[in-house]
Amino acid sequence: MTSQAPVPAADLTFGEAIEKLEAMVSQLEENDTLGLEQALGLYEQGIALARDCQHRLAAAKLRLTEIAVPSMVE
Amino acid sequence: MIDLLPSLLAGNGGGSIAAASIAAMAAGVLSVSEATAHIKSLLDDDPTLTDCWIRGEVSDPRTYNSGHTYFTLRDGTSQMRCVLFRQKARGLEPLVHGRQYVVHGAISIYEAQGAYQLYVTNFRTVGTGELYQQFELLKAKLEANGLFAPERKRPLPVWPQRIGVATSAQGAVIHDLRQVIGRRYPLAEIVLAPCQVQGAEAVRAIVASIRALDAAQVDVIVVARGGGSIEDLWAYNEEAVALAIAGAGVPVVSAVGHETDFTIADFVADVRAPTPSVAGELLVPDAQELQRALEGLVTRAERSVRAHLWEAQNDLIEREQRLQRMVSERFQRTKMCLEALLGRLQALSPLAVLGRGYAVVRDQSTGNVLRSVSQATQGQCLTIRFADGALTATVDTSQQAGRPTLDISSTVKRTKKS
Repeated sequence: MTSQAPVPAADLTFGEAIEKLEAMVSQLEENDTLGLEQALGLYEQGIALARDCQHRLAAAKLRLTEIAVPSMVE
Repeated sequence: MIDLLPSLLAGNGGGSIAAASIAAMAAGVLSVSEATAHIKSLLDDDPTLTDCWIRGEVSDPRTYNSGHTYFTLRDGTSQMRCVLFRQKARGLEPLVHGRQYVVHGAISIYEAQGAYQLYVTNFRTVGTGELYQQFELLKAKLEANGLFAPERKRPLPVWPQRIGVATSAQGAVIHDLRQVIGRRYPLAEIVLAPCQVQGAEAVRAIVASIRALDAAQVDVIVVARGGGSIEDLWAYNEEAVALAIAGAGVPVVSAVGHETDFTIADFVADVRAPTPSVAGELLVPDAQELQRALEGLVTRAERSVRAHLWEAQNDLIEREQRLQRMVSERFQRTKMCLEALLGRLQALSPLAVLGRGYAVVRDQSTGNVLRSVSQATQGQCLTIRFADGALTATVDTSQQAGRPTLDISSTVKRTKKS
């Protein structure tokens, strides 16, 4: 059984959050031996993660940074 | 310089260099002009250097009042100072900054500055045909070196956070990339390392940008430029750019020119995008699709957790039924056990003895069992209990063993065993 310690979503990158969510849903779907409490816990975490992802997507604003290119002095 | 070192060392071992300098000292110290003159004589005596055609990009040509023109000829990695004297310039077109030329002349030393330069006698522009030939030559060379090999191609990151872009800070390309990436995946950050995309400095600038982005630890690099003529795009056909792309530590997407333009950069890059906008689409997922995918995941999670609940409920019902079944079985077993015990108890009951023909005699008034003839008195009322009932009797006579037996009148009253 994978560890189910709740990971604060803020610590995950968006990609990591999505992948974690996918893994959680798969576990819910495929693991028949999951206890009801574990299943409910996974579900709750998954929904929270999904909502967090959706908020992040909706709230994000593209950033543009310009970096200095050192001129190649020989 | 680095290339020359091994041959120098191969020609003269360290020992003989030291020996030569000692010999030179013995012969007398050279003046700067003597040494320079010696170098000049070496160059001037070399048939390759006194009559050569050199290909490169003309950079910053300046014609002074004297009528002499000075410029730099360069390619991706090297440059050479050139001078075109007024007399030689007659009848020649003016040189154009950033264009490819094949320049004829002799390489010699300008002693006043101790610098070598190319004394130009003639030049011509590189035609499209020649550019194409160069392109094919470099392509063949890099292909032979395995730079285009499919197994070298790295997959693009699925969730890029920092997207490095090597292109001009102005112009449509960065604008398009901002638009596309901002619309599709605003979670990303564009890291722009601005560079010239054409002209004399372009090759070095593009290489420097790629390296700076690599050092800035972006997740992916886009090498991009808008459309233009083959000359405009030429920097992307230079070996130095190709090597910088191949040497980048992260995947590189090329997006140079229009869909129909193919540059060497496109072949070396991990992914070629036909245009900068398409590069944006290849680079990042689409937020709308992601929102839909997230909804899909939520639906799946809900469906699944409902199934888990349903299963748990069924499990509960089943357990309850099993419990009931178990309790009733237990009850049945206990009941049977009790009946068996009752049977055994009955077998042991004194009443069962009566069934074999014995009877129990009690005093009617006290209910005490008479165990001996001596306990009976004449006229005493007795109850005699048989297996199937009881009767009362009165004692007539009694006799100890050996004497006449107790005679009981069998008249009085019969009670049926209940």
